[in-house]
Amino acid sequence: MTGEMTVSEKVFRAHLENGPFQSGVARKSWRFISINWPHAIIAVSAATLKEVATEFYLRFELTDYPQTVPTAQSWDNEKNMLLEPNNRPCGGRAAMAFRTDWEGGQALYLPCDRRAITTHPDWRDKHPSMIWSPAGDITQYLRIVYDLLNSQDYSGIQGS
Amino acid sequence: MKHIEIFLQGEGIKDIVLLKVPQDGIVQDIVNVAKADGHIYGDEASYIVYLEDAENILDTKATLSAAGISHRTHVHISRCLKVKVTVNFNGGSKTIDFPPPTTIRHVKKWATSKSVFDLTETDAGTHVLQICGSNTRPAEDIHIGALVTCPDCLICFDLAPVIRVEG
Repeated sequence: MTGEMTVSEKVFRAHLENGPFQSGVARKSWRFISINWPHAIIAVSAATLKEVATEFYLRFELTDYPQTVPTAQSWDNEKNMLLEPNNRPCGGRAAMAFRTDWEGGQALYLPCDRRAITTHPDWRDKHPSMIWSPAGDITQYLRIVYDLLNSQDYSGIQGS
Repeated sequence: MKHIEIFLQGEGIKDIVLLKVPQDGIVQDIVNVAKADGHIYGDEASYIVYLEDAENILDTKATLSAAGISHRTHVHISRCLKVKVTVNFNGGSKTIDFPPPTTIRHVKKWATSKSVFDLTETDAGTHVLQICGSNTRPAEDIHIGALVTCPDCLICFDLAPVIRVEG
């Protein structure tokens, strides 16, 4: 076994350097944290509430990227584990996406997530604008999460 | 020669592109590099350069710094002078001309304003612009000029509700 990068990892790393991802970095919408293939961690910014700026870490599993839909976990980057329920976003659609009462909170409850779409095939018709396209890049997923965390629904962290 | 990177959107450019241009260059260099890199086609002289969400056309002979362009500035390139935007909502329809570098965020703000469709802040937060006849909901930082082609330079949106993910 050599340490040679897979094609998927090469494509993913190239996407991180491209305009769509870097534009989000420049706008402080998200930032790259780390890669340990097939996982990658990216922080997504949430709306500033009560003068507190927050970001949430997503730990992506990216096997066969971008042909296969990614799946992401809400992640505690300090403890290197799933983010505890009390530290997850709350409020309407944001809370729903980060829910912990479905699949043990192991994936985001969104149509762009592999784990979620696999168990909700009807979402392809209900939410066509949120379906992963292999022709796109990771910003498809990030934009959906960023929009939720910066929507009127988002009301902070559950335990705060 | 030192270079800077700019974020480029524009007519015929599918995604946001990172373009390397000479730091001491002029606005015309953006057009030239965009063409050399295969992002635009045809006569360079027909392209106009704008800053994001700005109305003024940049002087192609101006230096980048004089034009307000620095590292990672968001810039637009187009052959359109204006984009005719139609927004449909609740059986009504409104049309307006916007400069090509206008963001989706700005168009939505106009469409939901009191003088147009008069949505409450809450209702505005639960609606997005969707390109008519498609499922495409461009992100708020996308320039409308990136969604049109010259010489038509027009686009239609439905102000569509955000459907809650559940079930």
